[in-house]
Amino acid sequence: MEASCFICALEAWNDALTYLTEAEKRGADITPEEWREFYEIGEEIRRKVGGVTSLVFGITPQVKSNPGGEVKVFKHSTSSSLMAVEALDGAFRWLEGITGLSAEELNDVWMPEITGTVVGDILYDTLFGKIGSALFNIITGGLICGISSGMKDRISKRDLRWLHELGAHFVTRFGRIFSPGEFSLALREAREMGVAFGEKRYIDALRKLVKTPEALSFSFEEVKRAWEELTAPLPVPALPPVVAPAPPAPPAPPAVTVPAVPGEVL
Amino acid sequence: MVAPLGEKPAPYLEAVLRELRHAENHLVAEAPELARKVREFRVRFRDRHWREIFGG
Repeated sequence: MEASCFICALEAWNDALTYLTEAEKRGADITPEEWREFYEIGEEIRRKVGGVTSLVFGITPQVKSNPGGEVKVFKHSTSSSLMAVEALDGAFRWLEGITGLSAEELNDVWMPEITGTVVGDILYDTLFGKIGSALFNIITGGLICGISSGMKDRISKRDLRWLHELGAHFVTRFGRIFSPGEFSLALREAREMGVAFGEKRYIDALRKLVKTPEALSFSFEEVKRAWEELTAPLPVPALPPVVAPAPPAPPAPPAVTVPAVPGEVL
Repeated sequence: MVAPLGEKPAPYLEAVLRELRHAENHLVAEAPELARKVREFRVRFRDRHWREIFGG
């Protein structure tokens, strides 16, 4: 399943919503029934996209390969951005390959694990060490759960559920970091990707992209700009001027040979 | 991205149809039921607003 299909569909629906609103402003007769049905469709598409659009700390790793197949660039983007289609596709393909789960299962079950793990594990080694990391996870998880509960009147039930799940995963990681198996493999892979991306850039990305849940829900333009900045190609170094080689000398004209005239004395 | 389409409602209604079709195309492979729902809504919307859109 291509997550991008649902995200593109949701983008198209968003555009349709804008056009429909503008049409009504200009006198088009849109009935309440049409509006209701239109919003129902939007909600269904949104459900298909699932919690991906709801993750506040949804930092999604993406591996981009160069034509030779060697890992070349790491990008991170908030999953809340509809513009992160490319990142989501890359992340889903990568996680599908590792876990054997479908993208939908990943979306429903695994993404909070992975995203929580990436954030936690980078700080794990780089900032706090093991004991500090465990404390960090417990505190962060508790804060996410607590803050999201405090905001339950201002965010949707689905966002609240995802925030709680994310917070719970932070907390439960305290015990899970020692568990072996496929799950741990995915965690190690996620951690390695985060480490390869670099702590500073990762935290910069967090600072740029992590907003409040409400802002994330409605500031796609901001997220898009941040995404474009993060993913802008690196400047190409100036190349030395190319000096054109001198053209080859024209070939010498063939020597004129005068045939000897019979009887002539040479 | 949406673009300003003038002062009359018709181009906006037409754009709604276009975007719904766009959404439908993205859904048809993985969520055929939802794609069908979008299509039914789109067709009914088009028929109801036919005169507004196409001036017929």
